[in-house]
Amino acid sequence: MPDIFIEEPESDTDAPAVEAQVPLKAPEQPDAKSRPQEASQQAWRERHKVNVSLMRTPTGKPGIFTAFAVTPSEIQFEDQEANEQILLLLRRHFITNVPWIFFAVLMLLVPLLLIPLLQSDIVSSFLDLVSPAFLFVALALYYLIVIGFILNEYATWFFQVGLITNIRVVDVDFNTLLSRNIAYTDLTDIVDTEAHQRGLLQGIFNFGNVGIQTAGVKANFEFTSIPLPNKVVDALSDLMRNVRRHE
Amino acid sequence: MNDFSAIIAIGSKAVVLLLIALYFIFSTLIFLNVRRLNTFVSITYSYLSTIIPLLFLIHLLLVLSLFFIALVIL
Repeated sequence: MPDIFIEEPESDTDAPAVEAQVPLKAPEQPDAKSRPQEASQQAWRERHKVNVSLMRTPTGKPGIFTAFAVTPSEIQFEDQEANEQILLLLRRHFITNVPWIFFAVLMLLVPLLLIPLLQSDIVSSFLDLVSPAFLFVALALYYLIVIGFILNEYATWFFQVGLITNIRVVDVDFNTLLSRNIAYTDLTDIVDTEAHQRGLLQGIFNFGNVGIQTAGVKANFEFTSIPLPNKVVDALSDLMRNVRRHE
Repeated sequence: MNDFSAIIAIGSKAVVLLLIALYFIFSTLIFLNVRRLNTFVSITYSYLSTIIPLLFLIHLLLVLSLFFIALVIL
């Protein structure tokens, strides 16, 4: 993975290229012609200017198994502002799906593995009591539940996303399919960020947790098991520094 | 003995139908939640924004079909 985030150069030589790629518009004001408001718009643009290096290595369209995407195209979220651009799309590392995939394959194979058991006397005497129609319905229900389980697990992974934009951080938590929690925090409210990597697996596949500490009574954020946690922390730190520089 | 068999047959049919009905309700709630989330994180690229809720919908319809099949054949 290339270096996704390098401190933005002070010179204005690279700025036009970036602004050409992502036209950032300052919030519109009814009487924007006055000097103080022009200055305010200029300050807003400076504050939310997207980092050059980050823009240089976009990953484009995320696929169905993408867990880490830089400036992903064709992704939007509700309440996204007109001038807001998604810089990072984060999901759990795909390796975290291996346990449920293994379990699902096992569940799909269980009826096949039980076939030798059907020849035993105890099981065959039990099967004589139930009709073939009943067995068909039971088996169909079993497979539908297994397919439902696979869909649920995939959707849980797919929709549990973290988004880092040029304005804020969005955390969509979707622990069970019947509950969701969507949280936002502005980059200005972030106090500290930290990356944790524990265990052999996280070290080998380079994934871990990123904790985002926010100011005041606001809830802290945690992106769990995301790929390249150090890069994400680095990117967040640079974005925060950029925002604070223009405060 | 015949009465016992009849009770078992009716009981097992009722249990299976109840299980399918409960699973149908659960699947409906999940489908609605997925549809809502799909709107929230609108992944506008190609087929994905359509195919995931569609898979849930197909799954839901299969559960509903199974309920009626079970009602008829059991």
